[in-house]
Amino acid sequence: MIFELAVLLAGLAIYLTYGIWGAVMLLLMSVICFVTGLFVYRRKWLLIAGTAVTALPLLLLKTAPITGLSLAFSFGLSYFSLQMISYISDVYKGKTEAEKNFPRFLLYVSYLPHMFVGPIERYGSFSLALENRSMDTYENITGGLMRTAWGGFKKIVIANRLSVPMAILASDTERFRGIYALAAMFVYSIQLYCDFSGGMDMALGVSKMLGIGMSENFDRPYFSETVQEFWRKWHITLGSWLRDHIYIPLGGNRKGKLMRAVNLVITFLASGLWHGIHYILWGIINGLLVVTGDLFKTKNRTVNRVITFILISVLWSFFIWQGTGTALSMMGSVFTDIIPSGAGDSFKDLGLTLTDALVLIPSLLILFIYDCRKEKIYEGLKNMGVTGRWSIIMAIALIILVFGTYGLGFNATDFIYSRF
Amino acid sequence: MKKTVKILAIVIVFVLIAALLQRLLTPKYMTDLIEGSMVSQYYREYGDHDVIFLGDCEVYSNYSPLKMYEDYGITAYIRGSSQQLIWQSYYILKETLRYETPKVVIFNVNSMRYSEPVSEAYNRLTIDRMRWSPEKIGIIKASMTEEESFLSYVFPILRYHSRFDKLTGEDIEYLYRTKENTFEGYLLNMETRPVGDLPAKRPPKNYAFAEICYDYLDRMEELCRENGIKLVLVKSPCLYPYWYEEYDEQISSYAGEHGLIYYDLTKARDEIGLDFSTDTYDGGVHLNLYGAEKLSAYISEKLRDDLGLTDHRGEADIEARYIEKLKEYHKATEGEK
Repeated sequence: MIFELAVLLAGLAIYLTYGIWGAVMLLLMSVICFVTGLFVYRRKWLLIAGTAVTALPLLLLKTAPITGLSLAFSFGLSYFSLQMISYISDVYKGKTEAEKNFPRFLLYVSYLPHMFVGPIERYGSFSLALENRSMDTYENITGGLMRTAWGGFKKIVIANRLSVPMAILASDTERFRGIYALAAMFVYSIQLYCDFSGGMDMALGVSKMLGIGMSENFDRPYFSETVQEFWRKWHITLGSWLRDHIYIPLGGNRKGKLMRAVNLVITFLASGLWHGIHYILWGIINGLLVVTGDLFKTKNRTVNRVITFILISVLWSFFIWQGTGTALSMMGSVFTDIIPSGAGDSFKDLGLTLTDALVLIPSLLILFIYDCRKEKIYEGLKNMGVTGRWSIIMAIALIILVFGTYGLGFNATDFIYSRF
Repeated sequence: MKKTVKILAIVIVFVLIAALLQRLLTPKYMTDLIEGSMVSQYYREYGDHDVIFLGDCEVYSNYSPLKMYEDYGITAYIRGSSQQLIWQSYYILKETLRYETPKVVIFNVNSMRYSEPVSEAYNRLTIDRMRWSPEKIGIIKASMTEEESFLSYVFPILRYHSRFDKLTGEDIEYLYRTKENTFEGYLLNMETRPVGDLPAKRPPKNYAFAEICYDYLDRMEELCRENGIKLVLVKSPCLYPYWYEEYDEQISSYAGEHGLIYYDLTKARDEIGLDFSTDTYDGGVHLNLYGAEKLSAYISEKLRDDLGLTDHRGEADIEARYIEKLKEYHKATEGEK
């Protein structure tokens, strides 16, 4: 209990540094959800009321224009709201027992490692992880540090370095069209993956240091052969949440092929809405691609992977260029204006230097090899002695220290996905 | 236990490598941006100085302490730095008092016009090489721009890590050694660029100095008073940036209220004998050696006549301190006059 209280208080203290209003929102919603949980078992009206109250701030945040006030309330809201909804639903269905200890419940919703970029944890699995907390301090610290360092490498060395040209590509839509827009889509794919999965590695690493295992959120998504497979491997916990709380309640695949397709599109529409009102079309297109996924499938696995990567990258346009119209226009420019007139030597103006290339190329190669041989590398690292493991941790730390892109103009806790 | 020892050993090796990298990557300010080395040179040269100058480039370019000693026997040192803001002058004064207590502190009031940190780069030139002390903590906190972090001053590698592709021979040569770039804080410049067309005057909307500047001036005044030091306010005689009459009135009024001496040297250019066709290296913004020596003679006479500073020439211990410095100074300036 002392451990849980200490983690809770430390998390809340850090939470408070992001502003008092976000913390007030968290506490208020936690109280509502906690009380709802105590009485919701088999009471449908309370399930509906509790879910509506819990979802309301999130819906307002996603649909209303962004203001200073809404931002003040928003830190972590996307993640803890979904967790609360899943908690109420699980208690209603009897999948998990209502938590009667408020500090413990508060620890679940405010657990800091998942506040920035997820994962969206189910109460049952969190509670289990807490109860079965690993007491192997050496393994916790060593494994946790390795995971955190690896995440830091992806985020600080790769994603942050790519963020410089991406900021330029995203801001000047007049100049950087056509081939530049196409390049932006692929660069962003890598940046977003490194930023998001890097943040996730750090979250999981910190949690491991505390002895608490959390759910994985990525499983080499860019090696997927279809869009459907991609969404099983990208932001896994959001996908599970959408499946359990939207797709299945809608009927899932139980009402025929047509309704399955409709349900899938609606589920992806909801996913788009969770990202924000501008992402609805993105959600619908993804839903349609999932439904028609097999149409693009060939007998060659590599070709399938390339096609899926291209499709997903093109759709990230909605994330690169804010506003559906702009995103569509930039996608269109790839076909209508492939070499934009007047662009000249614009590649030189993207803020990329030879040094950036010399850092990025080997870094991406390391990332690729790691993702290809993940299990073997993982196993190898686990069986390594103290000297080997700690030398690797320190070597990654040194690489981040020197080759990372951070400092002036960069916020260490600024993750792309913490905006959603 | 064995495991812990191994981990500790690896962490120590990491810390040592990181420390070495930090030293390598942090600018040395020895041949490029040498203004960044001025503040730290003092730690190798402090002593019983009669006079300490504080301020921005209008002090370290315009006064020659060695000339003041050579011709008037006044011992002086310039603790100036680029774009030194008034809160920086205050903390540097406070730090100086750890090492010595001068008779006179001369503060160039040009910085009264700046009420907030100007740029991170200037902050670095003043602060990077300061020794750690409560004053350094104070100067960092007072100077940081919004985007800066305190931690990057504690661990400069966090700021300079990306310099790995900009390293030069200087970074290796001065990894563990240093050299003196100034003469008692005076940054020698013997080039001449006569004054030409100065930029048009763009008077500020509001001439009133900010509250924060007065606050730090009060603190400097109090610190000097408590330590029996005479605080002298000066405005360098340079032509640009313009020193408006409204500024002058406020400083005069402050000096009057607090019983301080204020020399507005913009009004004494003829008396000093400055000729801006020969005495400036950048068209009237700063003085060159010839101008600086004229101004040093002028201020020395003022200090002698108005404040009674005595001639230390002939005092064996002081002469011993200056003999080598003067040799170096003459060597650097020889044949140029």
